[in-house]
Amino acid sequence: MDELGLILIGALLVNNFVLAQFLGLCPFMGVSRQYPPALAMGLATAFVLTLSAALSHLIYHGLLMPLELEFLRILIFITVIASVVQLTERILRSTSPLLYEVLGIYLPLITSNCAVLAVALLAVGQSLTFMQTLVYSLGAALGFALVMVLFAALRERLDHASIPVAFRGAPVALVTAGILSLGFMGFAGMNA
Amino acid sequence: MADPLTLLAVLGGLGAAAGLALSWADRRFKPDPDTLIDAIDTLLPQTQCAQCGYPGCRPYAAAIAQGEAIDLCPPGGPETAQALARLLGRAVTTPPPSLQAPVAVIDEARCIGCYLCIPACPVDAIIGAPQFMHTVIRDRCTGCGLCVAPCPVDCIDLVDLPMTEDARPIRIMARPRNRAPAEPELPCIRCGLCEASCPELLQPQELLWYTRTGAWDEAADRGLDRCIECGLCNQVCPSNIDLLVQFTRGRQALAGAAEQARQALEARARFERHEARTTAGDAAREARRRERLQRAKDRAAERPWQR
Repeated sequence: MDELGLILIGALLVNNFVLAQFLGLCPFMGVSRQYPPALAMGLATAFVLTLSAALSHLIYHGLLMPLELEFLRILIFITVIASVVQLTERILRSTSPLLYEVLGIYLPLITSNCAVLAVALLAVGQSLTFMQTLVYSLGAALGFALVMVLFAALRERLDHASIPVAFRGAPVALVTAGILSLGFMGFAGMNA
Repeated sequence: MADPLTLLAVLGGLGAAAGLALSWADRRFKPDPDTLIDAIDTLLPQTQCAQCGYPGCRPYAAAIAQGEAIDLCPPGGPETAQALARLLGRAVTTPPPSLQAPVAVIDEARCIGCYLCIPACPVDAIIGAPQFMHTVIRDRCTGCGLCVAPCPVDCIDLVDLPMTEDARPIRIMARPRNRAPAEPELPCIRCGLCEASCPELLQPQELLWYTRTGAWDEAADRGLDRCIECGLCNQVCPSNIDLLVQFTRGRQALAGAAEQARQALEARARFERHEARTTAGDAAREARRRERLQRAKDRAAERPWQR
């Protein structure tokens, strides 16, 4: 149990996929202008990430290992991720068309979010058990959603601040992201 | 090393499984366009003027949901286009100049009081009675032009009124205010003097923040609508910030938005009453006509020799 807790915290904070490993930066910068779409994007990615990592684990250990086809893992994992993204897109389109419009192009782009593929590959590479993979990917997913929400809230505050003209928009957002990342490096001291 | 056949079987099998799962999802989760159409419909001004090329606001909303342009609504003007752009995440486009709202004007000297234009108006912006001169209520008129065709003496014109920069007819005249301080404005130092001075117990420095960035909703949440525009905060501000100008502008923006929403609601209610009235009248006329026809037939059946 302790071990699962460590894996969760490790993936969520210490090795946060966005701010410590710098994966999945495209939606991190792209959809964090406002709080509600950022939260939605974080949750959609979290859903895709957890589901695809679990499916990838099952396929890898149930199919690829026995058949000695491990070299196919990137190809297969991408197929799995793409299918799960399409599934999410359909569910979202029928349940919340407004959100679907707001997320726009970023929704199918979850497919190419490297954090999603990275979680599946890293989980397999560390030869975690199924339960561990589930907790690991859940931690990574929650970490991604957390960072999206934090950053969106910061950027909403930035909109109201008086910023020198040359720094407005993307530059100050990047600087802020850097400082936020510095903050997350403090978790490395926990050494999980 | 696995043989190529297993490899192909695994790839093909997984691909087929994914495809099957997706086609099931496609059928299970049909897109539900109604919610989106409703959301769009509430933003439209509900004048049902059909200038967009669709028979009314609801059909236009349905067309927008299908990808039609969002700037075809002259009564709504640029505000509606902007609101739709925000809702749908599309680029803001302003209507071409030819679509910006003119206003119908009746040349009262030529009006014969025929009462044909009044039922034609979807927003009841024309007042008058049979045999009396009619005129247009300027604030109500959406410039849809539906009254022009019925007029037998051609006395209605669509006139472009002087517009403000956001293309609405000018209604609010600038009234003289406390002069802006002559000293140059300095940044706010958060001294809190304005807060102590405010007779309405508002937080002027916070309101200033939100009104400067145009965040009207947040400003409203913090009581901008309770500001009485007394200008006391201006007088105490050590940085010579002209808070009053910001608050006046903010309050006008708030009032404009509220007024527009109220007018849209009213227009829709009026349109629905009008629709109910006219269809009820048509139904009653039709019923009377049938009754007369039936009586005539009965009479003819009773007395065939009168054929």
